Amino acid sequence: MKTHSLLSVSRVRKTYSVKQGLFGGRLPLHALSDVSFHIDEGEAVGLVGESGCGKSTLAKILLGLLEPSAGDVMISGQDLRRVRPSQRARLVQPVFQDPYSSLNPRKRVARIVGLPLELAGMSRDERQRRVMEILDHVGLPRHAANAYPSQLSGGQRQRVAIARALISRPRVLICDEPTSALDVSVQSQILNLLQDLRSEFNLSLLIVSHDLSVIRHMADRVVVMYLGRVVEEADTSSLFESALHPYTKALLSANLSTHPGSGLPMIDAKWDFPNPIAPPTGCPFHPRCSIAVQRCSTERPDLAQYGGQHCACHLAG
Amino acid sequence: MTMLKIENLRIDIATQNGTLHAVRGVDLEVEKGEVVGIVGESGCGKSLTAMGLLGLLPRSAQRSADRIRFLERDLTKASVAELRGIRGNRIGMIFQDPMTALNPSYTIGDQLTEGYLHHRKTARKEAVERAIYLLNRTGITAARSRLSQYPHQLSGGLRQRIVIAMALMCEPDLIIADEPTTALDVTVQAQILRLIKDIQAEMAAGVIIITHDLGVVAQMADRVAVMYAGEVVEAGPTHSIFAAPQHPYTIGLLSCMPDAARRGRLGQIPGVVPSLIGERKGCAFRTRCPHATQPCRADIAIHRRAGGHSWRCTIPDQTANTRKS
Repeated sequence: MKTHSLLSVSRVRKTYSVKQGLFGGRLPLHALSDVSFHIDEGEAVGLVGESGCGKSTLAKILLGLLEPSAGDVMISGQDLRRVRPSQRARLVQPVFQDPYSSLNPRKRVARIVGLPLELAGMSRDERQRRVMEILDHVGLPRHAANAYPSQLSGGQRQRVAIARALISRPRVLICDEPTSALDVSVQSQILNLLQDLRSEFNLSLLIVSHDLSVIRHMADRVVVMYLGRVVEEADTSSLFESALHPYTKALLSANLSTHPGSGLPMIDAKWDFPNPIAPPTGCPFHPRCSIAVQRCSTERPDLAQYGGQHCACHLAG
Repeated sequence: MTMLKIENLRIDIATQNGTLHAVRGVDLEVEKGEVVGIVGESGCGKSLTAMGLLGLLPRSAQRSADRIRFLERDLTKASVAELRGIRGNRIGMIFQDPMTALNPSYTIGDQLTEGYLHHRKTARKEAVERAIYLLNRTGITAARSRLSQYPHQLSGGLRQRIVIAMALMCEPDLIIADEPTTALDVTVQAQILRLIKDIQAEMAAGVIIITHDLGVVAQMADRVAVMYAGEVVEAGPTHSIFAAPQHPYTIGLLSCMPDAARRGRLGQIPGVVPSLIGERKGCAFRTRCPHATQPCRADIAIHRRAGGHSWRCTIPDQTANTRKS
């Protein structure tokens, strides 16, 4: 595999201004703080974390749907902010979580899938040919081209969303919870399809998910986020075999095995997710952490390297 | 002791295109102190089965059953008033989404005590004490001050614990938990499940847990019923269902799960669920089954094995096929 970074994010911040009640003022919410990571050519990176950790905000920034408050996003050697939307569409494309709301219910599949080409000014015949070709690739029957989304099942709709993403031949696919709205048997079809397409089109993937078994199955490398920060990054096997950060360990232990008798996990973390408007001082995880020491509540750990892994914890290593 | 025994439960829903047979003759038993998992994919009838037993169905739905014996009563013959006396009292319910299960315009305290006051006709003080006890029991700190809060002031995990406390207020004999952790984060999910399991063991209550998540059933349930297209296609002790599944649908479902021990391509179940409209003859899964043959079009016998493992299939033993997949 080549070592060239196709997409890189460096020290990205995103701050929202959140209104406090009816007469309250506005307070800043740091959805992302100094997030850096990269995706190499042909690589699948998993992004994992719980609700509110900033993973969807990051996905939107990578798609150019949100402007970062600070920091740089480079794609294929260019600053994402300087890339024209038409060109951006040929570099990075999304697959969203819910195929029920991400497809226009009033347009037929052929139109939905062909729209990026229509916007690029491609002729009707050529478009038609490319749409049929891509429907074959994603495993949809050709007659599905004339259907409306409501006539399709959840899995078929997600295939339509993937076809639409692929038709402009992007280099990177950003999949934000691509299977969490789907049944298990449909999830496996979509994950298999993404794997096939990845090698067929030499795609790079970012898989955003809260489901660790999906991440483990799909990703080469995993980035773990907590409260807007990257807390651990490692290749998939190291992360699952020897996680360093207490938060990653808690996430891993929370995953329920399908082998009966392994028992319900004891989670080594306290319940409550902190208020992102008033994040804890020091390490963002310390109020829930079972091994936190005095230093953790005052001094924020930086992401440091431990062998091939990166981890932001005072007590790691 | 069998506390709940459902025999031949059917739920029909009238639609413009004909009668939709959503639940097609479900049998289900729950012993005292036992956790029974109902697992299946969307539309298989698992939630409707639970709602049907409680008599909480939309008007368009028609329920019939040979018998629904709960403790000493037959719920098919119970009057509306009798059912009201059972729901929320002898049978507690935990629903999926704690935001919609709680009323946003009433305080936590009002909602926790409402059912208790109604069923027990006690003084408010006693109800409040019981609520505080249960909030503490579910690990909620500063329980007394929570009573005056509104649902929107609490996180998802907290709200779900309140819904659990609410289900337990009247010390129910049976708890029905419908996807109790689907809307929650993974670390919170594990904690909520542990809480349900601990309390269940402590109260020796029966639990029906309805979920699409095979990991949840594997760790929670003593017995499992797998539903497909309105029928229970396989049922039995959790260990035998996961170690030696017999129905091709169960086998397929398990092979679809990403598993650390088995990299590479995931199993797939080809095709789609058949329409539930109209009567059906033969096996519901035959259109997607890799082993379907001519006999699958006729009535399907139920195979039973010692230990209570049963399945509906023309193939008497799938163990050889299990090992292959």
